[in-house]
Amino acid sequence: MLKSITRRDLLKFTGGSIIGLMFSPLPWKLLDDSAIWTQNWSLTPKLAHGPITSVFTHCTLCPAGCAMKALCVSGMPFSLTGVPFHPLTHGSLCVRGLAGHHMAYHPLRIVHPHTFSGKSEESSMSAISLKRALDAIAGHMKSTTGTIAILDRQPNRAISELYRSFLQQTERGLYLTSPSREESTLDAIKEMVKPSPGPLGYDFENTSLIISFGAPLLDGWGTPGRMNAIRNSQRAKIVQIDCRYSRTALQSDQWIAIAPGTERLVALSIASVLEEEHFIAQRIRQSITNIRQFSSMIGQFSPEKTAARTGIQPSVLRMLTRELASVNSAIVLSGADPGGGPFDIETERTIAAINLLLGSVGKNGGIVSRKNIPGYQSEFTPIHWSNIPDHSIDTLIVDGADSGYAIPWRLIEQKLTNTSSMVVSLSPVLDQISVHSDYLLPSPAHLESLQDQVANIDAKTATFSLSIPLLKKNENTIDPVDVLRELSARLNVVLEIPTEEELLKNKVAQIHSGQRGILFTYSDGSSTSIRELSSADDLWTALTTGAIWIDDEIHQLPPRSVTMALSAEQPKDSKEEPLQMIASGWRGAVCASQISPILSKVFQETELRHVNGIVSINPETASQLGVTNDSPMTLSTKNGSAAVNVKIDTTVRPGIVDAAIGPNLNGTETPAHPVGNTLLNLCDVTNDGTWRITPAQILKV
Amino acid sequence: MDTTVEKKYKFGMVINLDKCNGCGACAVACAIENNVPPAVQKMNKRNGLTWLTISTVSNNEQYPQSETVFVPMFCQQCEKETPCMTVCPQNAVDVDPTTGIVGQVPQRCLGCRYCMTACPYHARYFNWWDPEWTDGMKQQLNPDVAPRMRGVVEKCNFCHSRLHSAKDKAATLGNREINPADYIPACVESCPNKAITFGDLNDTTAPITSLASNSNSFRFLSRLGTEPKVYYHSKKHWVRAMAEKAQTRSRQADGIAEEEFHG
Repeated sequence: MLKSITRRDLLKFTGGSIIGLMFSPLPWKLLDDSAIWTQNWSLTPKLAHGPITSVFTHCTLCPAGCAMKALCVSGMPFSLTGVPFHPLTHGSLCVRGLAGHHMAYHPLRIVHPHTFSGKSEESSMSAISLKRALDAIAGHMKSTTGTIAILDRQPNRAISELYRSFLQQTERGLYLTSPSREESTLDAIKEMVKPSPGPLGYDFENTSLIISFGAPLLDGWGTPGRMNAIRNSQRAKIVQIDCRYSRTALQSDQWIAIAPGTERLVALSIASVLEEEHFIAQRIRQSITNIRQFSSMIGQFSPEKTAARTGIQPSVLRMLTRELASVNSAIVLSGADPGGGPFDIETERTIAAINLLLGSVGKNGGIVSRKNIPGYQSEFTPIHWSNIPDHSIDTLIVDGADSGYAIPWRLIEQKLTNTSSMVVSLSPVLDQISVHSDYLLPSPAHLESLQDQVANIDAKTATFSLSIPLLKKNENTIDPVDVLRELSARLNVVLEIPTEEELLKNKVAQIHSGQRGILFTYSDGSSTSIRELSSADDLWTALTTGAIWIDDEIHQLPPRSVTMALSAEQPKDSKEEPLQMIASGWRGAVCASQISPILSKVFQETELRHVNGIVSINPETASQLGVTNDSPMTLSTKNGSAAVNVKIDTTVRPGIVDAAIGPNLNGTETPAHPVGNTLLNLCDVTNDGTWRITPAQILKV
Repeated sequence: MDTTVEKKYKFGMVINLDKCNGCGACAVACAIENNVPPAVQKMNKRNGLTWLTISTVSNNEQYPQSETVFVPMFCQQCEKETPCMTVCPQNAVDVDPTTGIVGQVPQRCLGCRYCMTACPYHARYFNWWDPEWTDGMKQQLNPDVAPRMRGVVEKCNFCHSRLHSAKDKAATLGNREINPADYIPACVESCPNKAITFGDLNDTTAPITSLASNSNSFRFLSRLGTEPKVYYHSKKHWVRAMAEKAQTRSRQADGIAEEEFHG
């Protein structure tokens, strides 16, 4: 019997079985079961259960301090949105803000004090007790005689006053701020006007024309929701003067493409047309103390004389200036790209001068005056980085807040003493500065602690709001207030330092006693006069449950004298360089630890924005260099070289290498794998604290 | 197969490309709302998981005449001959006759990816990796949307969980119809430029209806006859001309030469 079973029979049986099995439910059931199994395995997360609640708070990821509504499940936020009808943000929230609740759980979060051994790229970090770290920092401060500096990345907060008091007590303190872009024009105006006009803001809502020198007005500048609302209302014409076809240039009403690094020349040319065509009012002329000197100096910068360098047809600048002079109100502002370094002080002064010549300062629809917030120290003029002597800082404490703007480590490093300096970072994450520190004392992450948000950076009136913690603070982190208290005790500095809540309650009490302004409540969109609130406790309760205090408007400024402190020196011509690298970035996204991992949707998965290591060049430049799209190359400057991926982009100016100062999403950002931003480290940091243009080469790997 | 049936709602969108500045808020809000995980290290533009992706399209002129437009691309909610539904062997694609929304049932999906091949808009995404969030972020997932597992296809469903919430709210109030203000997809809500208009295309009084019928509004690949319910709007001629010429995926990324593309 067995002999009759052939190989063919076995094959037939096997084939028949397989076909038969297909008609049985077994394989289909197995497929279904495997699908059900994969849905329930441990790698698919389980969702939280519990009541859904909503909480109002404010974002602390940048100085804009936008209002947010958080939806929470069992007290844990799972969705953030803007607050509808908010008078400043108009219900918007930027991309970073939308995903801000993830920041406390960022893979690069540090939740324990650490020390770094060595300052080289090969250094390693190890955990240390808070007491030992504070003893070592205080010991270093006592043993050295050099400058103690604090770099405050979000100035004007309540803690900023404590920083300044602490430094004053040490008698060798230096208070530094991050290079501020939103306020750079305002700071330059304050410098040129006497007596000082005090705090200033922009009255965009009532202006007719906004001329922006490179500021990313429509891409995360100031309060993003406000800028978008201004653009969408189409009440003001927006003109972007920029060598890059940025997102703001794309969205503006007019883009004027200029040669890189010629912003000062363009501003001088506008000023020269104002003077030449008699657009400066007699009243303004009389207020300028050095008007004769200014008139003779400005003549050498007519659009015809500067056209060869700026690349702008003289008629274009003349038409723009005539439009500027004919509108009721106009604002001219600088800003520069968040990754690309601020303008030098001369450029800032020239741009500020145009506003003064137009009479836009202290006028509705121009640059308006705003009052100090009751209880807060009057604003101070920050020290410009160019005024800090090199190798002068012995101890540098870097505040943990985030300004959103890039700072190359090279800029900080050149101010530190060569051998004995100590850097202390209070950052909640490993970022491009904290990895260079000696001690890292992590502060609570975004939405983990109570903070004040003072005067939205671009607002026309003073404002005050509170960022209410939505997440439980990690017990191993330390508030910057507590760091100051501990250091004061160890250094015998007599300084009364309250808790954060006491500090802020005190400020709220003083705002209430000021009896000015209104309270805008988020839950119902109502406005109440502060005078109607019976006590400071009522104001505190309102602010902690979702509200913002908005001061009364004051626009008019009494007459002041102006000194046009502009240099007659011709700007350096950098045209001879065959290839110029300009850095470009996005506010708050210079480093991977500044953004939620979910922003991979914007960087890694869509390439909507470029990560670190991507450079864009024009097809013409690419053909000269023999480079094809997406080719791996080496970008080299006198400061070093880095591997890059070249993208060919018709929107980039020929001869320019547009280097993305973006996050390295796959980087570990540990000292062994130095952060950051390798391309930022290639930039030339000049003596005036800028890094706008760097001669570069693109070489084959 | 014609899936047109008499329906009460016909939800659609109009995206004003002249207002979009490519900030990516819609893509991030979509991912947070729908529990789409962040990228793993190996992910890139081709294998990423983005229900809503944004392409950058240029007019190919030289600097400074060059212009760029950002095109948000996601499931176009085809009304007729819905290609993905037609090819799905598992009935994992479902068109809701009462809303017109093309839904995806991941529990039924076998991961064969026929639907991805059939979709003319490349608006479907395959889960190549297990979803990964950090421990804290897992607690911050939207409790109304189930995370999907590796090996299934997913796509935009006009934030279906929000539609359910709106229906629940209407039922609680004793209404048969939802309040349009209660159903707004996450991308629409988050757009800082208010570039996306969402609503019922059957409602002749809704702003979306007049916007969709505007002469500057268009649909991508309308010649295929799938009647997408997502419209785009631009006053720029070159942008409108692009709609019939191109799929919005980067041609360079697809390795298609310029001549071949126009060819």
